[in-house]
Amino acid sequence: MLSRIANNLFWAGRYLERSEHLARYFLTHHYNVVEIGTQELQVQSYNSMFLLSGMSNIPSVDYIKSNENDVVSRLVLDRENYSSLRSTIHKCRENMRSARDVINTNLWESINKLYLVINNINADEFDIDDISSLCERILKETTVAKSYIDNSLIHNETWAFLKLGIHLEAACQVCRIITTKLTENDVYAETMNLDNTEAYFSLNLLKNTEALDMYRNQYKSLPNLRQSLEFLILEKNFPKSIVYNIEHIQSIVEKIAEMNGISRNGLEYHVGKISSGLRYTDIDDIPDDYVTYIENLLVDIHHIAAKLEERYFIY
Amino acid sequence: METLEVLNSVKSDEKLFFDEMFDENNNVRPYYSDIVDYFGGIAKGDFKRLNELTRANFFKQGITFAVYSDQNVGVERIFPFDLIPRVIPKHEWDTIEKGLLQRNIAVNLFIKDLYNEKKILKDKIVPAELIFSSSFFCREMEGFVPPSGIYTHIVGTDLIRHSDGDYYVLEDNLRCPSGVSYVLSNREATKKAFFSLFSKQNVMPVNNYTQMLLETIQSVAPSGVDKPTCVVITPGFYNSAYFEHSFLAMSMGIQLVEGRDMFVENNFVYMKTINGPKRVDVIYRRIDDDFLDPLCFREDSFIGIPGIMGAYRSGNVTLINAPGAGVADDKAVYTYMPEIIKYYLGEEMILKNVQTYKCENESDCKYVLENISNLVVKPVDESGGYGVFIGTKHTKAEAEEYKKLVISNPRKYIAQPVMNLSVQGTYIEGEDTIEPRHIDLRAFSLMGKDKNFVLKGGLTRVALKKGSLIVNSSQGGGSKDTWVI
Repeated sequence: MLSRIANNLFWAGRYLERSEHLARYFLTHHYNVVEIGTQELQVQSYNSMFLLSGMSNIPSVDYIKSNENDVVSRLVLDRENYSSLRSTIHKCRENMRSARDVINTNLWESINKLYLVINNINADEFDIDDISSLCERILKETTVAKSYIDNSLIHNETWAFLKLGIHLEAACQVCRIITTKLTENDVYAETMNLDNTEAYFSLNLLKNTEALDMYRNQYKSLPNLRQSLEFLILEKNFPKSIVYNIEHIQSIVEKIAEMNGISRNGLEYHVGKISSGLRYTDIDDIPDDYVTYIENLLVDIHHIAAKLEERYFIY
Repeated sequence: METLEVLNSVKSDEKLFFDEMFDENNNVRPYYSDIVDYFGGIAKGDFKRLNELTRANFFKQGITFAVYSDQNVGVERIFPFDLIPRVIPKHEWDTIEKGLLQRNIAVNLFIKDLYNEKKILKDKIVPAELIFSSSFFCREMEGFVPPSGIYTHIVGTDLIRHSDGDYYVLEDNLRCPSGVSYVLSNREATKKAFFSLFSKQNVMPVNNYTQMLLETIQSVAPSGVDKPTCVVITPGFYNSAYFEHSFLAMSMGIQLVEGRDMFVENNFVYMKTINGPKRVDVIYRRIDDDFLDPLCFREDSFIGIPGIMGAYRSGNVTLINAPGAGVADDKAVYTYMPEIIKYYLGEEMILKNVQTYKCENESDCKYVLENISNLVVKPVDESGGYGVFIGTKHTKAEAEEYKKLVISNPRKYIAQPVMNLSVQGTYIEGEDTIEPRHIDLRAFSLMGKDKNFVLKGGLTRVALKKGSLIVNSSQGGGSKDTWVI
């Protein structure tokens, strides 16, 4: 496989996964904005969306208050904004298009359909009420595309680099959602007059990662912070958890090395170390400063991407 | 139920043109009768829905070409597709096919001669200055013969049917001719939309094209290579024909590469894979000669492969088509095609050429300048309909301006009488009728080591604007499926 194509596939996978996370995050927060009473908290919710999408120019509180439609449009539809949902999907498609000859028609058409769902929307005519139906469609189309990756491609290098991108991005996004939410928690605790702030916060965290139902299934109790983090970081059998995604990265990295007759070295060692670390960690082993722990984990995950690039993508 | 009305050229006052569907007595031609009956019986609303569905399908499949707006923002458009197929009866097609093969074989021998012995020039059949002044003449090809002596592996020939009912060749396209992916996509679309009609017509298949293309490409691998690694090279996905490049690579199951994926070492070409360099034997290039090798041609090219001409001339890689093949599709060289065929094959030309005035000839130039309002004047080195002047469509002042261009560089221009492109029923959106519109045909041929092949049908292009003769996709044209029955 061409190094460039491997890189394109990796990034197509990353942007596909990122699109899904952004769409879910925006959807959950949209319902949140509708539900929560105070304007301060609504502004906080928009800030959270900006933070997760990685935008640098977060509008002022006053601007958000008086230009809600424009704010949503910037997050979702802005072509100029490199991190908007539209741009993310566009980049997913461009990378997939560069690798068009190595993927199949079903996958290509599903990605193209995902692109058309958002590309056909005129930002000037977009209404804030449309965001939920748009995000739901995007979630559906990303799921379809991911199912084509797993169920219609040969599990060769094409599949492997796409999946590497997906798992790596999934791990990154869950880390980022956790840190964003943990940071916000204090604001919520101060501002909202809730009987159980922790439960409310945990509920949101799990909703944002599509983990609530499975959490309930596992713990049979109201969400609390400790268990929520345990579930999202360390639950080996839950596809959204960090450990699940890191273990899959490990297995795919080894598979690619085997396919190409490459002896295992720095890349495999690094992934194996993170994977083993998570596998043998208990929630009680994690220090109370969860944010620092997750940020360090995120740095380790970024190192995986750098080592992948060094090994396979840079020629 | 309100059904579609199929209008003929008599009703639309276009009697001057050959109507593909209706004869001069306004009767449906026998090979169109099922089609006219079928479409004449479809409810307007149903057809409209089918048309919209087909368009949506093209978008869904990404069968698009890129255009650039004033703001330099890439916009993808579909190549408008008309659902009403064009029919060519088998006996007519057989003549076209014979004529194309004859032409391709002669052209290939001509190019080989030009870059080697130059007999045709020495015998003064074709003027040497015409060849050496052509911008497509490639000095790097002199004294070199590619594997199996083939220069034009892939040819796209533009044909029209004149009001006399005969087919004429308008142009031979020997440099990366495009459009074949639309032929295959259009066929899929008509099969899907009108399965019952299609299945009764015994239409000659087109889906063998990519297999034949792969066999052609593999057959001309450098000597000593049993299992060649073949690739398609594209300028990248911002290129307007990227859909076609990726479509062809995928259909043949070979790698689509860009210049930056390749390098040359010791006169061998390699691609950069995740597992180190891999040697490449045959390159189907969709990059113009000028950009192919910055060491030989344009040094500002970022899409080519530095050193590839050295590898090519060393016989370590085959390029498809050969660089410099364009010297034979120069519109001025075209005028010598009857002599070229006679010279190399000893045969009369089967497919007619349009009468052409070469402005480099003083008498021809004088005629062109005096009769410009009745002629079509074309630059010899442009494609896509750019720079074409259609005398009947311009004002006197515009004609005077164009004359100045011709006078300033006569070698650059040829002129032809306004050819009456035939018309064929075409669905007119908004009016919900089937009206005659002008059409042409791009036929695709392949030349391999031991086998030549002509795709049965080709791309019918249609000028969607009433009265327009320009069928190019870049200038508002569309396409139709072409059924050889």
